[in-house]
This record gives sequence, structure tokens and C-alpha cells, in this order.
Amino acid sequence: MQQVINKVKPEIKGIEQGETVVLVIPNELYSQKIGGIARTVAKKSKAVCYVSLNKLINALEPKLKKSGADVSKFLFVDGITKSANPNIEEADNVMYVGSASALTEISLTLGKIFNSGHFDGFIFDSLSTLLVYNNPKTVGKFVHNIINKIKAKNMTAVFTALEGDTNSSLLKECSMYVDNVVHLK
Amino acid sequence: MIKKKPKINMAEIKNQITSELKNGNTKDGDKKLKSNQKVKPEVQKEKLSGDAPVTKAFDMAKIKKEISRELKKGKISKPEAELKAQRAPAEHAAEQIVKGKRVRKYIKTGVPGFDDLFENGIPKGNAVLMAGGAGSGKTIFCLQTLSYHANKGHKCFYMSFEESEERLIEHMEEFGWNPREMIKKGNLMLKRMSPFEMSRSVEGMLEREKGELLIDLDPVVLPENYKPDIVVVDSLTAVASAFTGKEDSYRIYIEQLFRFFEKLRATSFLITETKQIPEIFSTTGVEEFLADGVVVLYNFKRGDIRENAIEVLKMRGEKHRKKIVASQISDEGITVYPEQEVFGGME
Repeated sequence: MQQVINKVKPEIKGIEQGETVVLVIPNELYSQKIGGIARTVAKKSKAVCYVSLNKLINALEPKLKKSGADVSKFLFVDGITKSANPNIEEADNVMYVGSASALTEISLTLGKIFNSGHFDGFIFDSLSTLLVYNNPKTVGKFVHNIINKIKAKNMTAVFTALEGDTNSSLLKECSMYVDNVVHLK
Repeated sequence: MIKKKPKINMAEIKNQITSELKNGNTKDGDKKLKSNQKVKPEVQKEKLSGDAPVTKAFDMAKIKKEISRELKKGKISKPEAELKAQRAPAEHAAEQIVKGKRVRKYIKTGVPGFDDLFENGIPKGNAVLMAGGAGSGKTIFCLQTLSYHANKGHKCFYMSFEESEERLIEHMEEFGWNPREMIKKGNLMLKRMSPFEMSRSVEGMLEREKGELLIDLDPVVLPENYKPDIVVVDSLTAVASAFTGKEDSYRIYIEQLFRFFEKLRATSFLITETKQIPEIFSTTGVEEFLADGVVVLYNFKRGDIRENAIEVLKMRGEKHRKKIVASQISDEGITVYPEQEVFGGME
């Protein structure tokens, strides 16, 4: 695991506070890399908002912990667990949204989180999942809206995407909104 | 040169938040951020290559509670409107001198966030069409507005052509609005009426007054000496269905109804059932022409979920935001988010 972390770290260490970056991750390395990214962002931030659309929270949190990320700094916005288990019990560090299609609800929740003034780090996991549930045009509009909110608060933000989506219209569009697109090896 | 990392005084941040929470000043996140600026700039210059200052673990439960509370409130974007609301009762909050000595009065709905869509509020005495599809929150919106006003001692009247009085009371109780107390105080009156009786009586009257379109019928039976400030009609669609095949009679009735509310000087909210994304906002189209205002409530389907939104389409005599904004229906009623864009649903 340490090897993975070391691979991730140099590639994002140049990101300055207030920058927004899309990290394009090779499909086969996705679940390994995400832990390293979370660890690195957590280490450099006071508090991190982590949007998870991929993994159920009870699988994601232990995984991030295992990767060495300080999850006590994380507030999760979970867009997947509730659709799998509608009766999930509330947790102190998780805000559940109905589905990865609930873009307005996600945007609203993120707006309130950013406005709370506690958070300077942000991870969006992932743009590729967003594309599975929504059409690219709507996702583009949504990502632009989120990035504007992030920029207004001078937060550091990392959006992840699968390498397989490199040629998608969304990633091309996102490259206009973000400061940098980094391809991880 | 190695920069020395400044230590963040977490206790100070917590104290600031706690004190702002006690003041009830949790509506404006930007302000809260401002109060944190003593701390933030030091962090802003840091590069990610350096470690963040060592801090105590965050109390995420407390932060989450704070954010959840915010979500229920809606964002109040106009501090001036808030100040006015604090200084005076709602109906006087937007009093204003317009050219010369004319004074215009406005009412607030009490629906969090909705009143911020207007410069002042809904002009008092306006007839407002509340148009929307099933599940868009038309009835909840109107009951919420009546609760707000009844609690302020205003006389509120709900004409139901669909649900029974008891069902409406239960509905209000589900949101914790205590309607029985309002009824006991005489500030709220719920009345179920039969649209078919209404249609028969209008027909009978038209038969007697053949050829005379401007008959003076009483379209609403109100108790003697009862003069409501706010009236809700739920719904014009139910009334229209009782006039099926007699469209001319319906138009006459609607015209009389609007004229009656005008005479009463009551602000009225008239519910109409439409498609989820409507192109016309009433059964015949004459209602939206006669109404002073049209508010459209949406219930968009997006993938496997539905999202609510609201729009002020027109409001005679008042400037308003021309945008579809997000809204949510929770167990406390409707909250409108004037700054929140709605994604999809329209395409």
C-alpha cells in the first residue's frame, strides 16, 4: 500500500491551496489509488468533504483508514448507500443523499457544507460514476456549478475519473473549468 | 527556507460557531466564513506539499447537525429583507411609498426562502394561482402559508373542494402546525364544499338570469361578518370538473370568484392541477389571465428520483426573480432555495 501512496503523492504535491484538479486514474488501479489520494488530501487539509458515489460507506471508510487517511477529518456525502439500503442509520460523519441522480440535492448539501467555513479540502469520487447515472450535458452543468462554489471558498478540490473516460465530452468540458488535469500512472 | 506552520486555535473557531448559533445567525454562511478569516488566510498560502497544521479531531457530529439545520432553512439572500422582517410584523414589513403618497402593502408567505424571490413580497389583495402537478407541494405550500398567518392572528380561510376538514387537520398536524389551536382561536377556518352543488347553484342562477352574464352571485358561502385576510381555494381544477360540458358557466363562475376576492380585499391562493412540466397553468387559461400572480411548483423526474422546484411566473405589482429554483418538502414543510440551480428535468 505504501508504494501506491508514494506513487500518488508526487503527482499531486504541486497542487496549491485553492486549486481544482481532475485526477484521471487507470481503471485497474482505481481502488488502490483512491486511498492514497484521500490520505494525501487529508494530510494537507484542516477538514475534507468527501463525495462518494462509488462505494457504500461501510466499505469505503475502513478502506480509507487502512490507507492511512485520517478519516476523523472527513465529512462524507454519500450518494450510493441510501439507494442500496433506504433504512440505513444516520452516522455522525455522513450526510446521505437519495441517489447519484439527485444532483440538486447533492449541490444543495455541498453548498451548505462549503458555506459552513470548516472545510478547505474536497474530494469528488467520481465523475465517471456521475456519468453512469446522468446525461453528460447535465453532469457538465452540475460540475461547473460545484467548481464555482469551490472557487468562491478557495478550497482545494480533487475530482477523480477513470482513464476509460478520458475522451468523454465531460472530461473535455471539465478541463475548461478546472486548473489542471493530471493523468496518474 | 522552511515555513513555520501556524497553529490553528480550534477552540476559538468552536466558540465563534457556538456563539453564532446562539444568536440564531446561522443563515449566512458567508458571514460565518468571514468570522473565520483570522484563521483561514494562514492556511490558504500553504502548498499541499506541506503538511497541514496538527489539529484536534473535528466534531463531525456537531458540524453535520449544523449543516442539516441549514438545509431546512433555505438561504436568505437579502439581509435587508430579514432586517425589515425583524422590525415589523410581516404584512407591514414591505410597506413602501410609491410616487406621491400611495402606500402599498405586501404579505410574506412564511415559506423559508420563498419570500426572497420577491423584492418586497406578494402584494396584499393579489389573487395568486398555485399551479403544479401531483406531489409538487401545492396544498402543503398553501397550508404552510395559512399556518404562518393564522399564528400571527390573521383570519385564514381554506375552501376545500377535495379533502375533508378532518383530513386537512391531520395533514397539518403531520407537519407540526397545530391547526386545532388556530381554529379554536378563530384564526383558521377549513371548509369542505361540493363542486357539484356549486355548479348546480350557478347553473340554476344562470337559468333564471338568462342572457345576463354579469349576474351577482355569491361564489363562496362565508359565515356572517367573517372577513378573511387570506383565502385558499383547493382546487379550481375540482371546480372545473363539476362544470364539464358547461365551460361558459365555469368561466362566469371564475370571473365572479376573482371579483369576490377583490371585493373582500383578501389575498387569495388558487390551486390548479397541471402537468408536471406545464405549458398552460389552469384548466381553461382564463384563470391565469385573471390572476395577479402565477406560482409554478415542479416535481421533476430524474432517473430514479424526483426533485422539487418552484418558479414565480408572474406577480403583478412586484419585482421577482425570474428563475426556476430548488425546493424541498420535508417533515417540517416546504423550503425554497433561491440560490440553488435545478439540474435537469427540463431538458
